[in-house]
Amino acid sequence: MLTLIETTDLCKQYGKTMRVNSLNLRIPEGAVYGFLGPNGAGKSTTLKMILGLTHPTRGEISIFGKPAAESNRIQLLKNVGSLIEAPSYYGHLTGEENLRIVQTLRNRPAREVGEVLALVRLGGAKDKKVAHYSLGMKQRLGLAAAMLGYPKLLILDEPTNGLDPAGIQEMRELIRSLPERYGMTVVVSSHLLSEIDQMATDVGIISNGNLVFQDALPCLHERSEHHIAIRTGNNPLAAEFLRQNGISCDLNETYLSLPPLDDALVAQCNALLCQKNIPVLRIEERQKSLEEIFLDLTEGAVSL
Amino acid sequence: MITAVRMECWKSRRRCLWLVCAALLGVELLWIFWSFHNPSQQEREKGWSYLLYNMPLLNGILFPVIGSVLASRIADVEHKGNTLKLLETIQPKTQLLHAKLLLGAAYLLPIAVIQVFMLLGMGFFYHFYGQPALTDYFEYAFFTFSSCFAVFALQLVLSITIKNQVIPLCIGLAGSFAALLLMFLPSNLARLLFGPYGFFGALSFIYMSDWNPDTRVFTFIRTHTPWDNYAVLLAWVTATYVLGHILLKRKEL
Repeated sequence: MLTLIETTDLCKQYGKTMRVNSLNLRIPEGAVYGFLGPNGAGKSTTLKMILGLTHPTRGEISIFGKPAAESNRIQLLKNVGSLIEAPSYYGHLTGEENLRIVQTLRNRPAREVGEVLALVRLGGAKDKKVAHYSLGMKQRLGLAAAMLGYPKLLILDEPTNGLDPAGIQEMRELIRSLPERYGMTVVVSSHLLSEIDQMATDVGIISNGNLVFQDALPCLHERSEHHIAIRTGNNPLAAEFLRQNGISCDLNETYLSLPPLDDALVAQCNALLCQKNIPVLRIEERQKSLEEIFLDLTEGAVSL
Repeated sequence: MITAVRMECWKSRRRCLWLVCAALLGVELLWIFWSFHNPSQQEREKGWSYLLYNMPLLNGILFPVIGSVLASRIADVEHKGNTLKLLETIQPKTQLLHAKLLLGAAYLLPIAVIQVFMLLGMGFFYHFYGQPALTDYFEYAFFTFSSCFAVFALQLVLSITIKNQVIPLCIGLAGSFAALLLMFLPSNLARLLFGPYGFFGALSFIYMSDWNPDTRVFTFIRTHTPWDNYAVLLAWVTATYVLGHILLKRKEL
């Protein structure tokens, strides 16, 4: 599978601060790549470096398998659409007039303006000046401009900013459908874990400029540390008794932590503890939420 | 390139750039009306040269402000809507600068041409004696356009690279004062100070001579065409272009 974007040891330094530190991104073709990170982690800076809007301090960037340089940047970006931070627009022009500029400069057929406007549901407002658009409408116009030309790669920086819940859902469904409908690879950056969880196939997590995780989304879910938690009237005694009976467990502050067990084994543990007259107060199935996994990864990076 | 210029024309819709140029020409027309209201015998005799003597002064005072406003309105559309980060993924950075310079030149050329027709029209309206030296007026148009373009180019580079438009506008205002002051200096000194603002006077080729304060009689003399000063102006324009090129290439968004 082709890697559409590849960065090697990518760094960006502002003054004495390394905002992006030795980043090795691999974005596979056909993916919806969720680029996650807390505010100020370096997501936008990384995307700007990929698009050539900011100069890297060090490192290499490869797009569509070719090294990106100033000399071939525009040629490579012919097949890349982008929406970075706030949407770009000319407020004194209508929505359609704004897209005409992008369509003409990209040398695309005029009919594509109407097509992308329909895709983002802005057809009814195309003759209105963009200065009179709401934030959500401007965001959708920015997405339409990015999609003009149906590029192979779409880079979206927080595309759901300013959208209401219905708009967010609409945007999410649209992004999810792009690889299948148009063969696009999508890179979506966000600090909203729930949004990425619902639309991404691959995830990269950046924290304080460092890439702390990069893999398929199911691999992130595997870090949930699924376990059984038992709270008893005498945890230390219960832990010792269970270990004597060949059941491994960890003693935490208020509960015992056992590995994932089938129902029969859980019932057996319960029976053994009752035989020993150790009252069983709680038996729970627990796993880390995606938020907890994310915080573990990003706070771990901070502590490093 | 043609596409880029066409898109700059598209972007300038509803920006009323023509109004900025019309304001300059309107003020100058009013000045001529006021200056030559009830012209004296001497003014009728020397009117054709009088116009070519005074207009560079008027252009030097007015155009830096007008040029900065024109450049700001052409460049500011990109800052207001944060469009540079979109455009730089579609077209080379310097192509934007070239296209905006050409758009500005397309507005400045009519200014120079219309000024000449205005002056000729006024001269015939006020029945100036003799015939105008048309070659002098064509040279005036050429040098006016060149000076205006040089100032506009510098203002455009400032307006594209500085987001806060108050700064280039203040520099334009300062340029107006500089242009007026520099007219009191010898042209070979004026052309080296304060960038292109001093060339409205340095490229003038009509000078007042033999001024008699008692009789208030004077003579206008036509000196050689100031190609040496023009060469220095071209150097300033080149330096401005190179500066714009470098600043845009280095600009990070």
